[in-house]
Amino acid sequence: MLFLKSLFFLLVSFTSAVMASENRQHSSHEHGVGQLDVAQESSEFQIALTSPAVNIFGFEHAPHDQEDHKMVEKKLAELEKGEVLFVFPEGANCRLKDVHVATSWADHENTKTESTEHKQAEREHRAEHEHKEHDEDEHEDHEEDEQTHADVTASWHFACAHPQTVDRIHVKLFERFPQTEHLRVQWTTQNKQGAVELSSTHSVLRF
Amino acid sequence: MGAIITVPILRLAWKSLLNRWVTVGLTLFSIALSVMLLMGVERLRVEARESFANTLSGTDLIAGARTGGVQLLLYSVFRLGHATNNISWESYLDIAAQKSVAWTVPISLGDSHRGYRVLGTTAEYFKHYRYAVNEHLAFDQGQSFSDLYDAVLGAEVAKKLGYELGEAIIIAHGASDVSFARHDDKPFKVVGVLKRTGTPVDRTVHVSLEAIEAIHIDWQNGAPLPGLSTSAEQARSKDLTPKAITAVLMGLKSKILTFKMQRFINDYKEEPLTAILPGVALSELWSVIGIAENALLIISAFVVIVGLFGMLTVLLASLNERRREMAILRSVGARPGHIFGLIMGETAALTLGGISLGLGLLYGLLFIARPMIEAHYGIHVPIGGLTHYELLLLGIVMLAGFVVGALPAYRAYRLSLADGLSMRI
Repeated sequence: MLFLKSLFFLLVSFTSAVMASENRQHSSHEHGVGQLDVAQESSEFQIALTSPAVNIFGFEHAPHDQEDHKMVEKKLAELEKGEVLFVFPEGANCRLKDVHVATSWADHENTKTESTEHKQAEREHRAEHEHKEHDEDEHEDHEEDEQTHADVTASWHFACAHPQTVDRIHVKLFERFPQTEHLRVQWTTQNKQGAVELSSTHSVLRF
Repeated sequence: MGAIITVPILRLAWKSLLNRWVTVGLTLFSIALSVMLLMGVERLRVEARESFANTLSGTDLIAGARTGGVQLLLYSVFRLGHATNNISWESYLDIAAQKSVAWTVPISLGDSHRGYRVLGTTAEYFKHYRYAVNEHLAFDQGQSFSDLYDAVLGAEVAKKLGYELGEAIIIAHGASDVSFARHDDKPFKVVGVLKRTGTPVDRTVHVSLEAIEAIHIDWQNGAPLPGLSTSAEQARSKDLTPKAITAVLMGLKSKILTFKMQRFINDYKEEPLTAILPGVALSELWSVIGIAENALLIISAFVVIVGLFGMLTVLLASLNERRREMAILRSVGARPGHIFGLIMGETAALTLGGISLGLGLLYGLLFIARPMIEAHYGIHVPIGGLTHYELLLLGIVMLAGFVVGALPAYRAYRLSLADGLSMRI
């Protein structure tokens, strides 16, 4: 989680106009294409997605009206359903342990664990609160929108009872987020590493 | 009844083949050559991949100066090409000190010894470098370096150059071995020889990072500074902490941390760096090379088709000449169906013979070329049995032979129906 927090702050610094003059390095940002990292260590699977916001929400400006916010909430909620987005082989008995979703708009950061279902409610409450804030500084937001791209980062943590039977993961992100055309996947398991490009027609990651 | 007739017919067919031995032999040979090409391309493709994949294992990340992933992999692991930039020692220490890092092996490339690359590293290299399926490096003779001017040789270096323990070797500056760019004031002593691995390690001379630093005291822009000379003994007392290294191999405490660490290095502010997962970079390399590989495979498939068409031409052309033969066969009791079977059998025998001869040629060639391929490209080509995929390819060739054979067989069948025992030419 610490990693995502640091990554999140990093992304914030990347998009911030103030920082731009100090740091001239830019990570690539290609609409329609997301980066998926899959790592396995014994029974644990960690899947992380970095994607331009447009692939997820259909727009990249910070949400400023009611409709935008609704869309963002809806899509973020869909991102959190890791067991729907990633289908492990049946016999492996994999369960989603926790999820972390964040956008580089700074005000959407969600963490959900098994034990903290109440966070869902908290998040909704916070979204309302954010909305109010937005009305106040909408002008600032607009200025930033025009110059910067936005990214979404998400990570899912699965634990499997029989990890040795996991020889593939069916990635369903393309069905849920049709604006995502390709995913560049890097993966590392106990003794193998590899890369593959997935799309809606080739959506099964094989190790 | 079938058996009574089949035996003499087969004998006659064999005699007929012998009678046409020049054309039959050439047809057989052209099929054999095409099969050899197809199998050879497939074999090299698979073995090259295998060999690359077996070169490094157990390394979670490789970090180098900002560059393409494939390039970093090629120069750090396969000694192909060279680095455009180095990593500063401070950045290396910073990376190595990260909590998630279990071990690091810094490597420094750039010098050579009689055509073999010299690799500066630490003793950790012999502990953590792994190849194939988690095989550790092992010493055939001697041990790791203990003194500043100690060198450990790869198996091939020792064998080709005939070095033994205790021998003194001179390292050349850069990749070319010319007399004015030699570090001849600071000779190295061979203290260890590694066991053969079938990887680029066999073709590497290993020395310590400090030694790389020591031999470059007084050097600037690829040449020794005139008037300055620090002797081998004087160099020992100097600060030999490296200023820069070429790349660093690292293992992490958990695979889960791999991408976090990769991002940490890629986003490292003080210096533009690149971190790669070696297996990922290799996949990327194959996706590029795969295009050329497929092109080669398609071309060799076409060569097989051309070979089979050659057989078709020969068989069709000979049919007219063989009408008399067919009539004789009919006179001894062969039915038109037998004639059809005869020609089919002939094509099947030719295809099968071509495949066998082709495989024989391939294995013969592999046997001769193996030491050369290994010496030049470091690709170890084992002479093993046929894989499932190769058997499948051969099956397709066999099937194609049958399909091709059906045409002259049908024509012979029609002709023998029309001609019967009499023959009008």
